[in-house]
Amino acid sequence: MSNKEQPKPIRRILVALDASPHSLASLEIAAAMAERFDAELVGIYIEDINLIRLARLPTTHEVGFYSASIRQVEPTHVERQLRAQARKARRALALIVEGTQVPWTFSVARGAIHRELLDAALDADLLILGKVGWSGRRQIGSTAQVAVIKSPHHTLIYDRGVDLQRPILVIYDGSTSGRDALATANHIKTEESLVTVLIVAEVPERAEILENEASRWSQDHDLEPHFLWSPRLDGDLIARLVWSEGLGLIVLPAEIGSLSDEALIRLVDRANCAVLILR
Amino acid sequence: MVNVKPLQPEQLFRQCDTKQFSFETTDDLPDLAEIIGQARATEAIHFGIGIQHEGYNIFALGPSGAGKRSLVTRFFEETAKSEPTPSDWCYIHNFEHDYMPHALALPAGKGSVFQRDMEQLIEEVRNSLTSAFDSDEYRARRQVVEEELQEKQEKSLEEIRNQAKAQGLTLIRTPSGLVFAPVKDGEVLPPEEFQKLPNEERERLEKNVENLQEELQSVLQKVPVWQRELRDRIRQLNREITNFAVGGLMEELRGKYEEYPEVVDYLSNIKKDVVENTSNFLPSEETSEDESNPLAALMARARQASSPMNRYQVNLLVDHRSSQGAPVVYENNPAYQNLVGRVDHVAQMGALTTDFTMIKPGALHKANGGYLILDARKLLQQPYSWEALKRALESHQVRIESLGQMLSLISTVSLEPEPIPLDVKVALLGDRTLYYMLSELDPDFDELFKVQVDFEDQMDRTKENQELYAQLIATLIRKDGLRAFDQGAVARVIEHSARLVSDSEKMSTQIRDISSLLREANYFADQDGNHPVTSLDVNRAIDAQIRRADRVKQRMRETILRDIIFIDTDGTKVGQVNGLSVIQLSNFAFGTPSRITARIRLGEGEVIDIEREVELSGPIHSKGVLILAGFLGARYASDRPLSLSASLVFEQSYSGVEGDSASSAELYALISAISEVPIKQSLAVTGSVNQHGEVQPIGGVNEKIEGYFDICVQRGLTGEQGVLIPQSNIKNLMLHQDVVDAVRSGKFHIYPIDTIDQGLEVLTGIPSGEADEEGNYPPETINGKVQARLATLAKKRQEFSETAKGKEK
Repeated sequence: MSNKEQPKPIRRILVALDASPHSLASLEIAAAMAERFDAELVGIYIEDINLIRLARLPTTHEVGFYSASIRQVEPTHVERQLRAQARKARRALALIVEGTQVPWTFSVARGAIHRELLDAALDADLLILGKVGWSGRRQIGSTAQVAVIKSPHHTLIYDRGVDLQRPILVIYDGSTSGRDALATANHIKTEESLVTVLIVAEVPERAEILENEASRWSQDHDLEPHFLWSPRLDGDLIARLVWSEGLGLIVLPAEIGSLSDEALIRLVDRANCAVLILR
Repeated sequence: MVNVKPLQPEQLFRQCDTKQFSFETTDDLPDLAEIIGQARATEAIHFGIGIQHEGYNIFALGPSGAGKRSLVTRFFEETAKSEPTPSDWCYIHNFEHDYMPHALALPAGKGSVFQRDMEQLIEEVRNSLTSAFDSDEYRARRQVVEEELQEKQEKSLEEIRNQAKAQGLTLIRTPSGLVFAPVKDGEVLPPEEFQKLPNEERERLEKNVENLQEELQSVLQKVPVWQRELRDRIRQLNREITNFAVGGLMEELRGKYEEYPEVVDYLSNIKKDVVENTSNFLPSEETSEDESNPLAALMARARQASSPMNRYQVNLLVDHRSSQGAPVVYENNPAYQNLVGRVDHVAQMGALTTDFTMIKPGALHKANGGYLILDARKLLQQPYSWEALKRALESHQVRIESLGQMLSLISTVSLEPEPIPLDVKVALLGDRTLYYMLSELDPDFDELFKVQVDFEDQMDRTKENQELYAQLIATLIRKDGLRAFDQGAVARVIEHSARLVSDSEKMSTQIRDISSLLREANYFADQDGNHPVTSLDVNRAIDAQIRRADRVKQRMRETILRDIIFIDTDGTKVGQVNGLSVIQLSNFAFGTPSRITARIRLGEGEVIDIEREVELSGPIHSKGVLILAGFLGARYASDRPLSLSASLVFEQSYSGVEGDSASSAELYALISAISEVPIKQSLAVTGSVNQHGEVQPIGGVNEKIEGYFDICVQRGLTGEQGVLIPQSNIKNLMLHQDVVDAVRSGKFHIYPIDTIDQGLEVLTGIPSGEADEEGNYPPETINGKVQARLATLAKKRQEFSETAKGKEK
């Protein structure tokens, strides 16, 4: 390993905003990452074509989430709501970058959310989005699931209350992308951040080798992590670690081990912190 | 002829003999331990302090500068030293009615300890609760409860979502609710395609949507109930954790204050409140997602400012931790709020808010259990202060009410702090007029201020008192840090003190005036480098005081010397005499002569006072003139009509005349006019007269003599000039040294006069004459000439009357 090893450059960060509390909260970490990487911050609000369509269906009725009342859905009303949400998202983005040197843009697209988001993500080095949207459920939302599996580049799934000062967990399996994870974590961390490296290796011998390897890399890069070892990687383990280590961010190479898409989604779902998936 | 001898120089000024003093300078004298010249006041204060019954508060009355405040303060402080230190008073939160804070009394010094203990307790409770609520146990238990609700909610929605899916529908979240829509390939069916569906299919979908909506509605309606259940369970959990976390801390403090039941009750209430409001101690769960909203930010700040934690504080209103004995408080500004205390407010988002920590004490709180001294005039000048003081004394409690509340001007909810029991002895300081006015006009006054402490203005100038006075001077000198005064300086101060009260046999008790003189003499001594201060320095200070105040006097004198105001100081005139008057400007008085003239004609016995006719005279002056008519009639016309009409006037007087001290001068002018005997203009006259022709004493004799003397000096003393004064005013003489010197060298004369006859002889040089058995006066005497002239006038009047009757016939 070379001590000149740098993480994959991030020049353009796309942050998906649906004006939900989760998405607006993700702006803070997005701005911090943009500053850290000298990147451009691009906000996008996608008007859900499904909402527009269903509003035009003659018999569509809406059940109020808090009032539980049933009311007719008017197309103009939906359009107006979408525009208001876009304005709110733009205002929040402008506010968060105010006073920083971060260049930013904001755009509004219309279409199927997943498709539009993936299309937009093609031009970005990092996609940031909230773990849940307007659904209010605790589980990872459908858009985040699609991003975790299909995003072409790095993806950061944000959970509310995350802060980069809190410990960072790096998943390391000896692969090239594992070293990318170390380099990225090293670049993101603040002076106060503790970094923990989770060695994923089936046997202790292999784990020892990987730990030595990661340790050397760390020494070369002024990183002082502490090491954990696990023979496997799954959602339950991650949930326990987030709890016990008080994690703020997990840096995870997408190609690690033999994680299936479902396992990866479950892992992100169980992590009550931000997860940065490197590709 | 009565022989009136002018006074000797020794009679004009009573010197203070320095031989009686056994000291060289005031440094040799000890401080004066007693109060001199105020035996009555001292006795009354002792009585006022000693008597403990209701209403025996003190009113110290006397002129300003008499030393009322220092005397009352001194006696209060002496007594207070040996009295018990009163309780500390705190205001604490009322957990039942938060707008009515409780008053709590604790032994002196305990209030601050209790305040500190409470601060510490709350800090410990906060730490203890933060740890307890941050513990794994609490988080795990809470998570279980929250998960349960979340699962219940999500499970219900999931079931509906699955049902929808089975029917070719999907559940979509809109910005404000949930919608069922038909789907195709994972996307909502476009409207055009929906329209193409067969009718039956469309109806089926619509029917299904309707059914699902109803189900969804019933699920969502349950959500608030579930949330309430969740809150109840979390609250129960919080209570359990809190009870455990704070129980020990509370018990410890309760043990410390077990002898104070009110504190024990208060601690129980706090515990209950902490358990009920645990969230106040924990970090806020509110998110700041809407920080862009300035209103939200403002409200967050307002919430922080009015933190519910404030209610566990102790407002230590009266703190006696450093006090020894009972308090003695002098309130210099007895405004309503400074007297009864106030409740401060802070502005939050345009509204004024307050709580019990913003209650501030007034002078009554600070003096409670001791003594309060107030200046009566200042008290009465402050709106509602007098009423507030009376109310507090009558009710024996201090109730803090804002003026707005008291007058029902403001309906905003404010605090109604529990009244504090009051036990205070109040001393009001004021002048006599104020005392008598209050006594007459306020029916409550005599009930509440039963002890009258009347301060003397003057004291006897005995040998012993002069020695004590010297000690008083020494005490004042040391108190002000002045240089020592030698014997002569002390004697001069005593002489000036006698002059201040215009009595050679008395001394002033106006400590303020004496203190000022001492300080000013010290100033001149300092300028000249004199040590100790000498009588020359004192004289310089006295002269400087006069100089600073005598601008008007000099202007008036100038108008006389420039013959703008006509005053003769030599020659003789019929019906004209020099009267003397005193003008008082603030603390400075000076005398000035006035020309008084009289004219007569045939008439019906009336004496017309021109001043009275034009309403330029006061009632006392008018009375004096009417007495003249009585005298004339009784002496010269007891058996025939007084057939003259006389007019009297103060020449060139353009303002009012009051007092009867010129009545003898008016009588001399009148008699001169009747008798046509001229009066010496080198003499001036003062003194009132009664119907028997006796000359009575007047005030301001020194200023009057000096006023005329100064004019004569300016024009040149002839040796003929002088002043006639009432015999009974001799003891008031404390004249300036230049007058005394002129008398000693025979250039000026002071004639003591007992009767009008004596005065007439001095003024005219002609015997006044005594009546024989038939009441007739010798014709060559003044009285004889008067009698003859009146007889002539009476005859003319009779002739005139007969002629008039003849014409009528």
